[in-house]
Amino acid sequence: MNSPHMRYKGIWPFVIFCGLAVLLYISLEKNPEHIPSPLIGKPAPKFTLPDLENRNSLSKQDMQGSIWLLNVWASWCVACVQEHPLLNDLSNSGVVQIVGLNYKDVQADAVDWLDKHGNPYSFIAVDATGDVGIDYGVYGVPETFLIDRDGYIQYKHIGPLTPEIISQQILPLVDLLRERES
Amino acid sequence: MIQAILSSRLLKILVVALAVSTLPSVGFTAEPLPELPTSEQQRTYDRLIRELRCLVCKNQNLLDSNAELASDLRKKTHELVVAGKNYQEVVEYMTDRFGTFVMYRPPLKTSTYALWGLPFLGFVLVLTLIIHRIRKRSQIQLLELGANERKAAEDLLERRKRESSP
Repeated sequence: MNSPHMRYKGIWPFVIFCGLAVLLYISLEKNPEHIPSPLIGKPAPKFTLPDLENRNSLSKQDMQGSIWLLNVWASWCVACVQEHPLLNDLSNSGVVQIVGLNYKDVQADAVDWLDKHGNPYSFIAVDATGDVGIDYGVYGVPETFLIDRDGYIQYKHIGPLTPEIISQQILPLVDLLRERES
Repeated sequence: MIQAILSSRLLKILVVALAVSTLPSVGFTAEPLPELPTSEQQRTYDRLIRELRCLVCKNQNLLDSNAELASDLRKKTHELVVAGKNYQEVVEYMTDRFGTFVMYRPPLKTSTYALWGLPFLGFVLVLTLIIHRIRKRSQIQLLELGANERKAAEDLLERRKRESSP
């Protein structure tokens, strides 16, 4: 009556419980806000946009040959204030060029905002309609893209940058891209 | 008595609330877009805004959401359909930019096999378990008592009867 088959029967609820516990623990670590971008490793979408001061216009081709960050920001974006000092520091260090994409903003507000918080950008492309934003899959401002010399997107960060993201992700990648070239 | 009525009324309210909460939400559009030239394009557009997710509000589609991004994506969808793109082409346009997460129903691909497969697997597992149990139970019922066992059982019943009726 007590076959070995029967004896281990009681263990199944425990096994199922353990399986569920492991599954839930893994999900706990995952960030549901993090959606992998299909654009990584692909050519950055083309754009031609006016400058914030309306003097020139910038297209993606103009950046060919340099490693650059595309930082999507807006004066209405609360989290942008948070990451802005980091961008100022990064710009001062001269490691990488930063291009701003002023996303769905009012020109005067954007200019005021930069006067107040500093301007780390070598160029600010104005995407008033948000069309370029859609091409870049932007759904949460701020977003930051790292684009290589050939115009390919190497990295994307959604949300405000942190010192860790910059020192552990962006800077090593920039170094790697530099080495690959030379 | 009053309590019974109260609780039954409460129950009714709860049932109605539950029923309403499961109703499909009524779609609205913040700013109505111009009607599409052909009825087929209109159908494509209507289907798309139900199937595409508003990325910033997770469990709403473009039709239901009044988020600004949803409105922009509705406009973009409208624009693409007017330009003559079919359903599949617009879906590709969106997934190329936002990933498959933009689709309300996840497509069947390597990374989603588990998602689609597990419910079926669970169903089959439970079904085999149930069949197994039923078979086992019917086997027990089919067990025949030997002559001695039958005799012993009858004796026991007989004794029980005698003891309970003095």
